Amino acid sequence: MQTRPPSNIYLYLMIVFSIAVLGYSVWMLYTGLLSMKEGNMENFYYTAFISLVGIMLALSSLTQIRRRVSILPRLGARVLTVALCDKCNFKVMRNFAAGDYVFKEAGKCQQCNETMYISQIYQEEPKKKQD
Amino acid sequence: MIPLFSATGLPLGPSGDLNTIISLLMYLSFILFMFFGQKIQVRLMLLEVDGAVKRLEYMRNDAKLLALKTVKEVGKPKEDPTPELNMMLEQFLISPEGMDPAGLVWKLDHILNVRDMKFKDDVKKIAPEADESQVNNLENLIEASQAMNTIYRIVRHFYLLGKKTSSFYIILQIQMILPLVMQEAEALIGAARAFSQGQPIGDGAGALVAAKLMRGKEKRKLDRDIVAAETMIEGRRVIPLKAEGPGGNVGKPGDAMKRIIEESNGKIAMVIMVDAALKLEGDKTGDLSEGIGAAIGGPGTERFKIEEEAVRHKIPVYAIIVKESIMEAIAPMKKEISEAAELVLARIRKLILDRTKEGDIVVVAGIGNTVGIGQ
Repeated sequence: MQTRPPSNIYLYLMIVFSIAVLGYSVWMLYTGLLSMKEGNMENFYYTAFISLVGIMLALSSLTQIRRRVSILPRLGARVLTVALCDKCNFKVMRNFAAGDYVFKEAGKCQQCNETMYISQIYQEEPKKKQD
Repeated sequence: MIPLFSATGLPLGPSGDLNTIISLLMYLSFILFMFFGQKIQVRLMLLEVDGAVKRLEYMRNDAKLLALKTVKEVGKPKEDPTPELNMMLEQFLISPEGMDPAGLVWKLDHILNVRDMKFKDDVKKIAPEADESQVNNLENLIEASQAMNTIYRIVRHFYLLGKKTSSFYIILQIQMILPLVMQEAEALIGAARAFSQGQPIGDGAGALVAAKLMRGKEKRKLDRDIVAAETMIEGRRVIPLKAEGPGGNVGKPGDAMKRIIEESNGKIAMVIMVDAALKLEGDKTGDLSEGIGAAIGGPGTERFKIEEEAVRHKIPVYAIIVKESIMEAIAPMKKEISEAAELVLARIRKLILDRTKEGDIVVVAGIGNTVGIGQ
């Protein structure tokens, strides 16, 4: 049985390669513009074409990697337990602990000593734009 | 000789020879794509599916290991539960023959009952120390692992079949739906984690609403893991019912509803069903919608029973749904869904005021998995 998570080495290599292609293409475009200033139009057309293709490929590859990486935080989201006091509405928020469930008694209220209960258990919203 | 660097310092700059080579390469690639285009595409698609199969295999094993670990921790079995667990992951259900549709619902209901009882017994066997609520959670956890196992096997089947036949269309089928399959697999992993720890899931929105109505009231157990209580809202007798929590359970609300209606001699003014329902892309999670009819998913047997009783006694059935995606329904409950419960209660109150009079009996059925939700 495979227990190790799939390796991310290809992902990192892909990022490094895409950034390298992007950097090289931008530099190529810059030198192409310099040759246009010098009046070497043939060289300019050639380098502009090749560098634009390179920039597009690198950007497309980086966008795909970003999409793949963006799903990772969702898997590690925190689940919170909210305990509430019926009498004084005092609220305690903490990490979910095994055995917690909604409407379970959650100890005494720190403010009025009344019995608190778990009013909510929910997954914390990841800090990113909504889908 | 082809100059390696042009005057600008760039490798492979333009020159006459180079132009010829580039033109030749372009013609060659054109011819190559003309004859082998589809084969190249098939290879690329297979590469993508291969990556997905590896990820799914890891996720399947992860879910299985989680189930095994939880069974050992909670159930404290004397023997190694792996062989039994492996057998449960491969369990299947054969739907009744539909050539003669008369009585099909009851046949399916019977098969589902047998399956539920056997599955629960199997879980009790591998987890003898687990209490009722933990058995329910383990049952759901193993079901999530079972679903992961099925997804993995189906994707692998199409991948290997595509590889064997080199058929573009077989591979295309699986490659097209791969993003959705992967999303569902990720949600199932979330569900497995939620069940292993007993956290409420998005599907429990309806159960949460019924639990809020039941809180502090005397409860009684009805058929097949369903609990009911009685409360008063604006002078109306309201009977909320839900699956018995906090273990993972959906119960048999159809049977329970039938019993309540019979107990009241059919004098029910209204049935309100609250459930989580699939939103469309662009809809906001936790938004509510009101409608008519029995809001309950699953294989359809429970909906059939509720509809039958409603028609027999001419009881209007109203539905309030909490919108969420399929992923949110099986993942730990989101804050928006949890907070929607209060809004649902306000809608229920309004419906009761608008559509019934004082002294009437109203049934509020909180549908959904009640994992992590007491009463």
